[in-house]
Amino acid sequence: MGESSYVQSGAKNSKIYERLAAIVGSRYVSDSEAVLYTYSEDFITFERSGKADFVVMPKTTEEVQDIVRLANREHIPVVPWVANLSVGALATPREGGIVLDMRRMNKVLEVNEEDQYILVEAGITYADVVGYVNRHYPHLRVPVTYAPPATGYVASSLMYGMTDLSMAYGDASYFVNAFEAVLPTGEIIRTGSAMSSPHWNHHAALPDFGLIGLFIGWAGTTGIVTKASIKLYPKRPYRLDYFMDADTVERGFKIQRELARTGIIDDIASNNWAWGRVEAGEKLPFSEGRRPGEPELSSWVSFTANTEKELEAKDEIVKSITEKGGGKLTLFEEGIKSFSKGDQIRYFKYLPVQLSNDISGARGGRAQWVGGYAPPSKNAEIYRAVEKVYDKYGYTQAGHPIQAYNRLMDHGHEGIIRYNIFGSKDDSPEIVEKHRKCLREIGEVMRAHGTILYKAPPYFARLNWLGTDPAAMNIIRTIKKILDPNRIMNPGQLDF
Amino acid sequence: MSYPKTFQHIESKLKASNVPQQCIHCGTCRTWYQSQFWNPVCPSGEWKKFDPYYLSGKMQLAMGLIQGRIKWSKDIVNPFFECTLCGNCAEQCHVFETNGTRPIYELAIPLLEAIRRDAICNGFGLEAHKRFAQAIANKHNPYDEKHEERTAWLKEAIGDTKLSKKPDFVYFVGCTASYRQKNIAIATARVFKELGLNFTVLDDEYCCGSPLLRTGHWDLVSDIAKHNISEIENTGAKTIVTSCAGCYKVWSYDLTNEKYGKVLGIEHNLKVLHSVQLLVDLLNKGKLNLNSKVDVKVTYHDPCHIGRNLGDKALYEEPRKLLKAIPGVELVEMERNRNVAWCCGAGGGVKSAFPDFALWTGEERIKEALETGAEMLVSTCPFCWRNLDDSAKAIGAKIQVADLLELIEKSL
Repeated sequence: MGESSYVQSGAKNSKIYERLAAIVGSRYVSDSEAVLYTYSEDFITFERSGKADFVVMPKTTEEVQDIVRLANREHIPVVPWVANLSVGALATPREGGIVLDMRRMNKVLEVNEEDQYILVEAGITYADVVGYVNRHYPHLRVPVTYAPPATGYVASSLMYGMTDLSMAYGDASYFVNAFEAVLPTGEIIRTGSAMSSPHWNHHAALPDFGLIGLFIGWAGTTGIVTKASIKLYPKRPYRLDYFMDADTVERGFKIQRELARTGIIDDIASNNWAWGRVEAGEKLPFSEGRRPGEPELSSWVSFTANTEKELEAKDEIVKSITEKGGGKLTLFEEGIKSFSKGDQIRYFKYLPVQLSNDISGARGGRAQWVGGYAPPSKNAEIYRAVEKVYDKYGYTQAGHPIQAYNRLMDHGHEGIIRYNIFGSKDDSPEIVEKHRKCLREIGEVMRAHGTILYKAPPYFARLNWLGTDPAAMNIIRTIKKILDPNRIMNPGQLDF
Repeated sequence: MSYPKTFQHIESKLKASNVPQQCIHCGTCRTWYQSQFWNPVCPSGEWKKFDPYYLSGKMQLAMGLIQGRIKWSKDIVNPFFECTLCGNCAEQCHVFETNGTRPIYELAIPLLEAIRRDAICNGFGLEAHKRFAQAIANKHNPYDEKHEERTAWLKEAIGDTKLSKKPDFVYFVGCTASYRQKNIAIATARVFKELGLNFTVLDDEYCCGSPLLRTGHWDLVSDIAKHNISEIENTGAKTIVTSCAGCYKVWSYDLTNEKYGKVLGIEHNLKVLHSVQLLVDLLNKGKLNLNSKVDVKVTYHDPCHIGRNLGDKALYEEPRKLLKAIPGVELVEMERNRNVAWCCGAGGGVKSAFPDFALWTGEERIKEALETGAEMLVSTCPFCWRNLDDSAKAIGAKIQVADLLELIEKSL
């Protein structure tokens, strides 16, 4: 290894700049102050800013390889980036280096109608994918998230995102058949069926089931995915959407689980009363607590069918379970009439389009949540425990009550639950520190109840590691060392 | 946190609505989310690709400047100026208040213009803009053309016909139609004459101030606006009609009290019409008879300045109504039309400072027009005309660029 000419963070490095420019062309590399600034901070969360030294936009896998080889040789951190919308600052360059903005790699490479998948480059956004499929294959359904349209499709899948088909088929990682990725040393690897066949239709190519797991959930610390094959589904012609309200979270989560087990639901997501208000545009702090009749948990239940008769049969089942469980169903189109004029929920039909009011709704444009995969049976118990943390830090009393969101998936086998704190870009350092402390304690409570935190910034990643089986941790560290011997990939994240 | 002085006219609104704080960089401003095809909308972002060139990045930089986390530099200036200010980004923002107001939609463009002004006040501006600001100061037009030749087109338009001494309205021509797209001024005056309208043209018309307002060079705006108001009032007319989208926006929108009027000390009570409004009114009253057939398949490009920039006062239907009234004209729409129309690429000082960007943006629009099968791309703005025509020629596109008034003239 020769001596590195890279000086970490803060100093212009013309030699590295020129080499990057030689790879991607000078138009697609930047060390401009304006560009570095916008790629260095998260802009949403209470996480600390980083410092990018270069932002590079490759167009091909070969360019990614060349950049990574350069970075590996020079020991320069590389941070893969599409939209930076993880709400966990996962693409914040915490130790400087190259931010690899993947958005020029946004092509649809193949749509295989027979084997039902779409092969895309990894910088493609939800807007790109949905627009393409709607235009060229309107009979097909691509799983989408409530995240904003600028969100990276593949990045979201890699980070266990949630989709509007997740109740039926599992979290977003389940929709991935196969990847192509560039390893931190510059080699290309293919996983799934693409590893040993020209087809991208399956996640396994015996005996490699786990290779796909070299990238899922690793927050870009094991390599850079450049292509991915995502499952597609037929767009069923009949659909019903309900609000399912419950007076307590205990009742609401129980009905969710009952509905999940029927195997007929595409999607169940929920907000607690407070987050629902924020989505409807209400400003924090609230002047009043839970109003009389306001459900503690309001779920969105969505299902589709091939025929009207099938839809009616499913509808009957959903109504019966909800009624027995003590919940209340309202058709979506009816339900939105009671929302205020500015509510965002009306725009759900334009999926993917969620988030801005989720966070701007607090009117300060800043928020962070702690979320993770909890045993679905523990959701209500965790909610009550977390509620006490909000009380302890004085949020409830100050009109900032518990903000919760959940999504039950894979017929009830898995589920995400998140707890959010809204802040403001004008918050003082002391207030920001209070938010951080409260979030950390929420994370600790969730871990104590068996939750595995996801999209976790470093502190929360450490909480995961603290309770992880040492033998498993040893394997994880060994894998990381083998794949990324110089620790160049997104250093400072996951923090093994 | 304190806003720069150049924000004074919008400061209370920004504070009340928490803008730019509310922007959370979600990126919804990049695509037309109401469309099933999710078309891109932001020329600046699509051209430069890097994050600060989208509205979300500009908001992030604005926040950094307001909070004092970053300071003006040549690097910081660039994303704010390499932007046509078309407003299609703000159009997409779906941050809502409970009363239905959309703060970022309403305030993004005024904020971006105020930021540009702050850059100028801090000594950062673009040479191309300084040059045209100087030309406006010296010769009252951004093209540095001789002021005395401003109405040279008039003879070709109306021959020796004398203009009214007691006009019902002043035809405010604007610099681009006066010096560059004279075809539009000529067609407009001929149509007015043919219809027997009682109008005049100012002998001493100055630039409306649009290029100055957009690029942060606000110092001159007050003087030239006052000059123009005085000249118009001297004719006795209470109404001005313009064929320029940029002039129309200045007169009907920017120079009002709630926009720039108060902060720049400008007040006027003139009725302002775009030529398409005047003609639609005549059409409705049966006073505009379009009899001659013009066999052509056209598509219509909505100029930002009479489109989404005007909010609920946008002129989307008037030009379409006129086009449909011309016998033989078949109107087909581009996918992105009305409030989501892709910008022509000329505005915001881009044509002079970033000509490659202007052409690329125009070419994108030309390609979209070609997809409709149209033979002609019609608009109602001389500046759009200029850039779309340049762009069509640059890619050898077989499509004619025309102003709506040129078609009207043919059909009379």
